[in-house]
Amino acid sequence: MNDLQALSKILMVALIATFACALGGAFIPGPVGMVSGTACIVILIAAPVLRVAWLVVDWTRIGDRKFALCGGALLCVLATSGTIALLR
Amino acid sequence: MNPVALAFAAFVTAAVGTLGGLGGAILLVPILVLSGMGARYAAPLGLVSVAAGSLAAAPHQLTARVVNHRLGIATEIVASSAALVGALVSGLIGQSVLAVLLGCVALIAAFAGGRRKGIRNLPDRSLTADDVGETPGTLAGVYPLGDEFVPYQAKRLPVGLLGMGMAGLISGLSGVGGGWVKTPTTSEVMHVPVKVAAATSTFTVGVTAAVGLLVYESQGRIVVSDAALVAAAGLVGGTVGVRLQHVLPPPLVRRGLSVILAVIGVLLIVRR
Repeated sequence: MNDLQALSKILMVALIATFACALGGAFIPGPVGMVSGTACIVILIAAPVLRVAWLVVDWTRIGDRKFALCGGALLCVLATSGTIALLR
Repeated sequence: MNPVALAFAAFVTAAVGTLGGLGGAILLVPILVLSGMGARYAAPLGLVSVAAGSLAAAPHQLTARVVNHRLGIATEIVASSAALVGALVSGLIGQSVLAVLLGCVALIAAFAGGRRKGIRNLPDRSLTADDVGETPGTLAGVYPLGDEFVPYQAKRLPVGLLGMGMAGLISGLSGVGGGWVKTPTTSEVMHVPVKVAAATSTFTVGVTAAVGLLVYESQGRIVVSDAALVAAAGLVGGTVGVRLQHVLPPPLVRRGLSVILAVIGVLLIVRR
């Protein structure tokens, strides 16, 4: 199994977990539903960042330094954007 | 909007958004606003729909090796930086002017995709299933088209990056995702096959949406029960969209994309 297949399986687990949490958030009333819905949003935020980080590690491992640096730069841009937006 | 209608709208817009690599927000947010929801609460739901569609598409697109991550990440650096600049200066441009600009961009993208005939990247019979995927160290790759395999190479990178910068700027200024500019730019300017362009945009709009959702969550603008409903419907819609993208022929995807962009363009200009 190559790294993209492994990433695909991880994202499939994330997809199922997000769907379950989303259903909980939409249909379970009270604090349980709130926690479930919030967990769904947290996974939606974390999954693409994890994907980029995974690719950076993978490209570094196979020696594709140019694009590993690009991925690292993107993570820096995302962190900067998130920080500036949160501080405003 | 009642929950059934909200779920249906999220399902349809995520399916269409994933199919064309547009991101569903450009479709869902206007629908929610037209139904009476305030834009302040509609925008986060639009991003939830985009993120859900992107996550739903990811496992299938990774297995099919149709996303060009190197192209997506290289262009997303410019798009995200421009989105940050756009967000910082968003108060300087009137909403009416912005709507006309967005509408014109959508109509130009629709025209560019709709006028082209045939398939630009042709299959190479010497390639096999083992060649499918990205070529390390380059912005090239091979994607499967039926039983054949099509090589491609991203061209006109500087102009493409300019287009991505514009997509990011528009995204930051308007608050809707830039996928509807990214996919035509990747396909029509950089000559990447439309299915690869759409899949790559679906990946990058998920990245952009993650940052936007983080901000909206911190501002308390996300109604969790509505967001969860949109996410559930968006995940199902995204799964349907990516399956359709896999089976539909590229010219049909491109023409369908042009029709949707034309509708978006006209709506933006008429409703300003």
